[in-house]
Amino acid sequence: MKSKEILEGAFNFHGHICWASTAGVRAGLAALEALGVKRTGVSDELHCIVEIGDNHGAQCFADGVQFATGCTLGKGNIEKSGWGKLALTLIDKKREKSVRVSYWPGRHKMVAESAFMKKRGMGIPPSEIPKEEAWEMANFIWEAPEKEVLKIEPVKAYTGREFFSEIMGLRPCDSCGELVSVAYLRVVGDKHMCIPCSGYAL
Amino acid sequence: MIEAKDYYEVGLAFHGHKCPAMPMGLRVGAAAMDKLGVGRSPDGQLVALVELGDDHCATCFADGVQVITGCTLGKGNIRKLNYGKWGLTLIDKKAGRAVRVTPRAEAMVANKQTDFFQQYRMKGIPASQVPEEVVQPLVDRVMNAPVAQLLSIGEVFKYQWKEPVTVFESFVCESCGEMTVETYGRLLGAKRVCIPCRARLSGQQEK
Repeated sequence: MKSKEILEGAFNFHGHICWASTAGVRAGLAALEALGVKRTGVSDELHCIVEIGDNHGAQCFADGVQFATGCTLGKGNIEKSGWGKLALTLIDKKREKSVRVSYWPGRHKMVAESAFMKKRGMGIPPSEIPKEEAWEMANFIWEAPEKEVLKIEPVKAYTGREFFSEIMGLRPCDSCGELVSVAYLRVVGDKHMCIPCSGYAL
Repeated sequence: MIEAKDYYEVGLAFHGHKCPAMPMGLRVGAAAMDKLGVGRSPDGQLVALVELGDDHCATCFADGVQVITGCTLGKGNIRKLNYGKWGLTLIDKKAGRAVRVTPRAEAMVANKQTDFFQQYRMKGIPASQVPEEVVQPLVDRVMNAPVAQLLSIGEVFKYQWKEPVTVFESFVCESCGEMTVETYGRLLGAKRVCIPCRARLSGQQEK
């Protein structure tokens, strides 16, 4: 299950090689395995809550999670809790089970002291750092014994949350003519407009 | 020239099922990149603002945008504006330029009038369970339609990007022992803890 091809695919999607997306791939694969499910290609099987916030290092974790689990921004089955942490809770909606997997900093000193991270500290973007240095650091995480880089919690029952189904209707905005999901149309006098045309909340 | 077709197979593998919205994201993304004259964003060079909301159809669009532009959830350079629309504003941060591209309403309405929507999707059948022969013509139409028929491409405009400060400092939560970004740390008595630990131990949810 832990195939290097998955990691390479994840880096290709992500755009650069880094330790946090590697940790995300491992965490995502471990969560799938714990629940006994496969990567999802649809929106109604799995749901993922990833604990990253905004504008901080190592958010790249979430791209590893997207790639490994198939819970993607476009399918709407991944959400951020905004806690500034590298962890995910993967929910099997049909079987009402969940598991939380977090990055464990057992090898963090190796990562922090790597040539790659020294260059990152100097403000060099990840894609401009030599690939060998990037792979060396990714391998610290990828090849580590699981316990040194992941904390996998017991699978739990997951209930008490309603997942909404998709709203299918679409209508053109009376002002700009562009299509809008009906739930997002706003009332302006006798017209139905999209949010930016309505001027509401802008 | 960015070719949407070069990203279709990898987009399909990432997204996980065949539908017309992911390919539409590829086409819209490619058009925006071409208009700005930029390549895929390996780091945070580009920012994508997508107008999608939550829990509505064709949000799959965002996966096409992620795949072709390199603006991804993990890099934090794709944001949803929650308008329930399919416009994309792509920003080239360094050049201070942006462009907005949207699918033409006629093109999307035409997609809605096919069996894929009327006989399957509107009846609650997930895209992954629609027969191949029903969905493939839609995918082909989106992938092959001439730009002018499919998309409306705005003029390039100035966009002064203000880069937010990225926080690299982190600490180990004194309750659960997990790594936490410094600015997300909270105090519980004299201890430094993460947000969920503070909520659990104090019984107070923060706003």
